[in-house]
Amino acid sequence: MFVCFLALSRVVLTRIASALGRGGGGGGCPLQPISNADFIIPVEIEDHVHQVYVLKRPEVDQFMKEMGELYEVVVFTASLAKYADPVLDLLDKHKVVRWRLFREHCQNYKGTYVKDLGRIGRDLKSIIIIDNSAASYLFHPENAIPIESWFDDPNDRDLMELVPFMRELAKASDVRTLIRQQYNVQ
Amino acid sequence: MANLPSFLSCACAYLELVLVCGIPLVSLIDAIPETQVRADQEPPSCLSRLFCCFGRRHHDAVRRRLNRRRRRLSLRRLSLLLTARAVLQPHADVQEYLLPPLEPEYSGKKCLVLDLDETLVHSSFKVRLTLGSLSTLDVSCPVCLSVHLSVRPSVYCHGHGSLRRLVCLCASWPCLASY
Repeated sequence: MFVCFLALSRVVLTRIASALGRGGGGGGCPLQPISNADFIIPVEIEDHVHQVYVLKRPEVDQFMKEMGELYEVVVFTASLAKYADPVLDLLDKHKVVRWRLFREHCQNYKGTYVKDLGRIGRDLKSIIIIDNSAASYLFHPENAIPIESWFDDPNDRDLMELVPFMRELAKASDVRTLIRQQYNVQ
Repeated sequence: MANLPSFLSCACAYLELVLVCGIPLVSLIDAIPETQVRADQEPPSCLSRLFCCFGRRHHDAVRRRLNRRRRRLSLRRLSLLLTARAVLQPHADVQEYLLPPLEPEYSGKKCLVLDLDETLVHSSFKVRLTLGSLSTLDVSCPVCLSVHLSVRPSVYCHGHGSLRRLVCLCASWPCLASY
């Protein structure tokens, strides 16, 4: 309960602060949204255009640039192309993403979308997947580098912390051996 | 004619092997060990050893027999190969890779597959409110009458020493009013 009170009081404080910052809370809802989104993308869903607010994970640009120098980069998402394509157009500033794969390229396995690395068309010795969801690499855990889900933490440094290991992997004869050692994959 | 169905199935299998695996029939025949076909072979007569043209008919007969046996063996081998392949890769016949072959500019490079949502970006239909640099608020559609508050545990840890709690508050109308 104590923590709940803390949370509430903080909410009230910040709410007042935001209302004041806006020059007082007149009529109607004083909470007007301030978007800190990196991109706002209109996406049409069932004949309605919805705004999608996209936040970039910290240091994603630098990470992508470094990966582009080391790897053939593929973005494989379980999302639909009509959302992911415009996001990637804006996100991929350095033009390092060579291929894009979407939901239709996933395999539906027991109701989840699994990214079947065996279908990629590359030797499994030289495929690495970085994904926050373990279900995505269900078929090939030995190729996977897990990463914590990111929502909005501005202090997150997970991507750049991976770079030294990614450099090492780029030189390995079989990535699975190193990943097994690093992440104790059974 | 009784063998026609089996012949046709073998022919199809051969075509599949050639088209899908790129293994030509010739290589299959060549792959048959010599010892297997030697059993049929008779030692050449003295005359034929001396004169190449003598006993040609005999040689032709041997060659024909040999070839027949080779073909039989190769077809048997082919069906064995296909059975093995079917057992090992049940969906091999519909296998189609998602990416084209590696381009020369990427030769020697490994393939890095990156997820998008919650790995590189986070997307939301809801507007995220930034309240300083400490915490963020998600306000869903007011019609839904719900407010979602998400607080990073580390935010509160700064001010409260070792206190580490995750707070998740879902409020309905009364809470929304006091909010």
